[in-house]
Amino acid sequence: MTAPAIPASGGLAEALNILLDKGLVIDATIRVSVIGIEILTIEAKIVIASVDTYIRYLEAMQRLDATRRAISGAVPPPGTQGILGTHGILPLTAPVAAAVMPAAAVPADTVERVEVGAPERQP
Amino acid sequence: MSLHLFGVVRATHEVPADRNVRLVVLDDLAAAVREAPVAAMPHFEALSALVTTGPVVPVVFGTLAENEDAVRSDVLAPRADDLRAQLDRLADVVEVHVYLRLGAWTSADTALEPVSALAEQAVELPSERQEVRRAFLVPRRQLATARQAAEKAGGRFAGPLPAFSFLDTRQAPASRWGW
Repeated sequence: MTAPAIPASGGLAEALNILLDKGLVIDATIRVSVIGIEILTIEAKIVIASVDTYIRYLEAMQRLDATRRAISGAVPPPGTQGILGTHGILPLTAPVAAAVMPAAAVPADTVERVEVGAPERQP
Repeated sequence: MSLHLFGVVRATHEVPADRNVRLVVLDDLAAAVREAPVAAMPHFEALSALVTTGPVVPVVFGTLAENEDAVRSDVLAPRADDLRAQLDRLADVVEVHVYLRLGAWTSADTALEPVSALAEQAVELPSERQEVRRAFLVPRRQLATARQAAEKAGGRFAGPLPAFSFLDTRQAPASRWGW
């Protein structure tokens, strides 16, 4: 078997952006953990290719923080409050009724309905 | 001092000498570890170097174990059969990435057909506008051919990489954006 070449680090940095949070996950035990990404901070030479990648990186860090809190027995994360279970700094409260503009306030002839595939409107 | 884990390999794996990586062996399996935590880039460099000498099941970046006993009892032993099966599956293949910026008249499938033809599996990676990113699982001995084919198509090539995109086991949860 011939030893393949090690990739140029430019390409590797790009691949790293994609693969950062992938890999076999070992369930955290007392003696094995997934922590410490602050120590492992991404070096300046790595191109954070995009805002998307940066957000994923931040999310990976948050997961690690949550893991560490769970290990140290501190407070669990707050209940979810956003779309798809996101967390936020606002306290959980009853949902605020959406502001509804009274129909009467809008003259009927200014209301435009845009429906894809709807039959052509008569003039 | 905790051990930083790179991935699981066969106990007979030849470890590159220059990366301070050593093996913690349990029967025919071994975990590639380092004494101190490693930053992201050196972590991926060491993993990619490991892939050049045989199959590697990478663990998620940032995994630390208290000591060698913990590596054996908590990492290797509980899923030994699964790890063996994965190493067998990856024995003769490596992951490569091709990033292709699309021109107005180019179809990615057409452009990358020569690479696809070599690959056992392919998967679409998250990408940005105007770019196609694809991971391929190609035979080790076809690596040079795959690189040439990718570059001929005008793509950027990275590899060999650990088979992150083709692991059977549980992955890190997807982000809320679904990437």
